[in-house]
Amino acid sequence: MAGLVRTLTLLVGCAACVQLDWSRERIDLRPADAEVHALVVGEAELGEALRRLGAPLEAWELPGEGVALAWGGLEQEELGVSLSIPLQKGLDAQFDYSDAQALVRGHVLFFDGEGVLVATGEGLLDDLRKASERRPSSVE
Amino acid sequence: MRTLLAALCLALGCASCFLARDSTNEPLSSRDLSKFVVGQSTAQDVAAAMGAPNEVVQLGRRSAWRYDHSHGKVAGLTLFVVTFVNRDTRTDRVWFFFDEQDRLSHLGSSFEAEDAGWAMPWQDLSER
Repeated sequence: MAGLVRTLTLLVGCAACVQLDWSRERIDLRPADAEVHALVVGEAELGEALRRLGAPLEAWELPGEGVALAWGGLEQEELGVSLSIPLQKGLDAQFDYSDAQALVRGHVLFFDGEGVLVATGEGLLDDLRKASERRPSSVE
Repeated sequence: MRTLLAALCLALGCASCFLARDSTNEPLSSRDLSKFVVGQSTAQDVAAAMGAPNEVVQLGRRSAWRYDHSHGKVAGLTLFVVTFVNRDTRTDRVWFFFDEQDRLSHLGSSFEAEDAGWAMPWQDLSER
């Protein structure tokens, strides 16, 4: 009986102090690489990209009336030990892309003013956007 | 041995699980888009039918409007000191692209919100 009490005490003590967490978060899916690579630079047009890949996550303006469109998804996994009640970021109902934008990976397609694909990029969308974005034009 | 069994039974008895879901905005439907014609519909037509967009992006003298609806499912399981949590969020998203005259030039749509699934961290939902 004393052994049972000791074991129970140990378990309850452990549960109160230590938690092992394995969490996984997915937001949308990246388009298949084959679908993206099927779009040929210099030939593919914006309409074809939208038909193949669906609605992009983001759109932004490029110099020379161009436009960049980004497709991607977030997938992250965490394995950890915590010393508190295991309510973590992944449980926040308000979690969205704006919280995790820096972690979203995917493809960016760059179109010129005529809507023709001129370049592609792959990686962290936030980095690709910062490298290509310009301030919006003034409206006349 | 009996002590260990009793402790294990207690641990199993302490197991708990939860399911949660959340969504943002009203669901979108491909039927909503059938009324728009590229080259004919205007930004005014889209605003009248769809309401205010979630985002407006200026693209030089052109513009693009985004509408979206997301659906998330969270599943969790706690076995005494071990917790598993999985969150899967999918989105319906529509972009309307307008030319200099605010006429619809392109339209892109994805409808995946209903594909959000309940799972544990070790399960792969990417093939759904």
